[in-house]
Amino acid sequence: MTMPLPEKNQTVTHIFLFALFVAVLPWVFGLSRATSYYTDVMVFVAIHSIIAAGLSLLLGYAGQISLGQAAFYGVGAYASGILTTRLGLSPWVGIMAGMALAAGLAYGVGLPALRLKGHYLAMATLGFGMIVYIVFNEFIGLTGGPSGFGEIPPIHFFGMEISSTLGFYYLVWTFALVVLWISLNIVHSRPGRALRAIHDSEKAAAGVGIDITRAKVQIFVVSGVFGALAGSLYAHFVTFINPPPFDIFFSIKVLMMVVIGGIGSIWGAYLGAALLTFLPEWLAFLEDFDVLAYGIILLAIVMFSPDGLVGLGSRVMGRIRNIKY
Amino acid sequence: MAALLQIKNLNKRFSGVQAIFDLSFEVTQGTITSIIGPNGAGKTTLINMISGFFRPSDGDILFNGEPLSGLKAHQVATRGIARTFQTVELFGRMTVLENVMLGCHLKSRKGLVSSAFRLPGVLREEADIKTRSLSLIETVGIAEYASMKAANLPLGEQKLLEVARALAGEPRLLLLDEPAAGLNEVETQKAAEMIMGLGERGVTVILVEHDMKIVMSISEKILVLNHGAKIAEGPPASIRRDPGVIKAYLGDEESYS
Repeated sequence: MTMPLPEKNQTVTHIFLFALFVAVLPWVFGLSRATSYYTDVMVFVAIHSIIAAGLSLLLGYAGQISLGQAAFYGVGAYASGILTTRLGLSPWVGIMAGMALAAGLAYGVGLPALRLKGHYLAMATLGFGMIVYIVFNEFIGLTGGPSGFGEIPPIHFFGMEISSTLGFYYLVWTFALVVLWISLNIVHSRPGRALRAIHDSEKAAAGVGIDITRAKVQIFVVSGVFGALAGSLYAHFVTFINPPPFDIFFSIKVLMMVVIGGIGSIWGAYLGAALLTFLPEWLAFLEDFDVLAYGIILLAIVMFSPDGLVGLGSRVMGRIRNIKY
Repeated sequence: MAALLQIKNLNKRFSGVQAIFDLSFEVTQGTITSIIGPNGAGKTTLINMISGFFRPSDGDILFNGEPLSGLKAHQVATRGIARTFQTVELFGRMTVLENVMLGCHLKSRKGLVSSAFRLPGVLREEADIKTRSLSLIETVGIAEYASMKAANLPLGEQKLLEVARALAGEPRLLLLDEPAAGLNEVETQKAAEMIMGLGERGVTVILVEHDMKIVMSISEKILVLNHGAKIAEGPPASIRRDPGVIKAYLGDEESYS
């Protein structure tokens, strides 16, 4: 008896269709002056999707909460920024260095915290995020302190300088799609299955020989690396960095992206990232009260659709199908 | 023949309560050994210690001549010891097939990086363990449920699934903790036949079970525990007649007369 491997082939098809959608989107936005700046917003959707994908792997598949993803985001941004402006290195070196540094930090924070049962990682990452934020503010010689620094060079791709918004849009979405592909591959394979198993029963997982600590630390390292990648891309897009974008509130926002999109769904992380990136644009008229709107949305999701927008969507689709037949 | 498993002067204390008391016994390769005793006799504690879930207070557990002391549960599994749980521990939100594929964890190797980038060999390994898992599901007789969520299975099938998952790791020693508890007569018979089959396939089995019909019919050796200590050990025929065992099970004669 042989069974086909449907989810794999479907995954590639879905990503391909999504890529097509993303590719034509700027041209649709460009049709009207009112929407042309949405391309800019979509760059941030991609950056946020990358960091949310990492947290989604950790939260949805390993069942662990991190409140320090903004720190990895900052580590990537500052590594890129410092190495390119101070040492004149290529942005690609900055990106790689940021990811490597984030991997090391995630390992160092994750190993002791993930050895213990329970939500010690949430506490450890909360502290880690605060320490990193203080470092950004206080190591003025290196980071420029609270006022930050600018003139971070754009990325070159095969000799082409990518400085236009549209050029960067395609670059950053290429990264976001590769991250999506990698994340879905992890989910649909042996290590992803092991993570879901740990989530269901740690006892049984240990019984079949899964090294629980190792599996959790590994995926936390992946989440840190994705965070750093997103941060580097941010730095090269905005070309100026200072500490505020890397504070605890951004960590919470990333957590909200994952929860609102749908815990346990990588696609949900992308949807949540899109929603929480566009929402501030639409809710700008509320000024400081926009926080209230986020709170209400989060509350509504947790109460009425704990599996997020993705879960809500699949239930609605199910209803529609039932009506038809 | 050398013993596959040797237990030497094993003790386990839980804050003053002596759960296992100076226990020693051996299990020969390829046999079915049953551990019986009244509730609270320490049977599951013993299973938990052999499988690395509990650490012995003192004493030694030797598997294939090597000590297991200090190993964590997943490391014990790596040595070739698989187990099932008294209260079923399945990956409830995953399918029956996925549960058994997880049992293949130690028999497959692809790690995070090769899986993330779909390096050559990943899909082939996936297909291999899928085929192996499907055939195991058939072996234990739950093939029709392959794509059902494990939590939705009837209890009898859940118990069989646990056995299939344990077998997927191709263990040398299989620890079964009350595989027939909660099963009806037909299911119990099915389970007993399956365990017999394991013995014939060369898997060494340690069985903890309350159902005496199963224990007496399939065990080569029976170990009787009471209050954590061994009170008898031997083939079924001699255990059945052992006055100490009868007393432990039925209580003192006065209370029954």
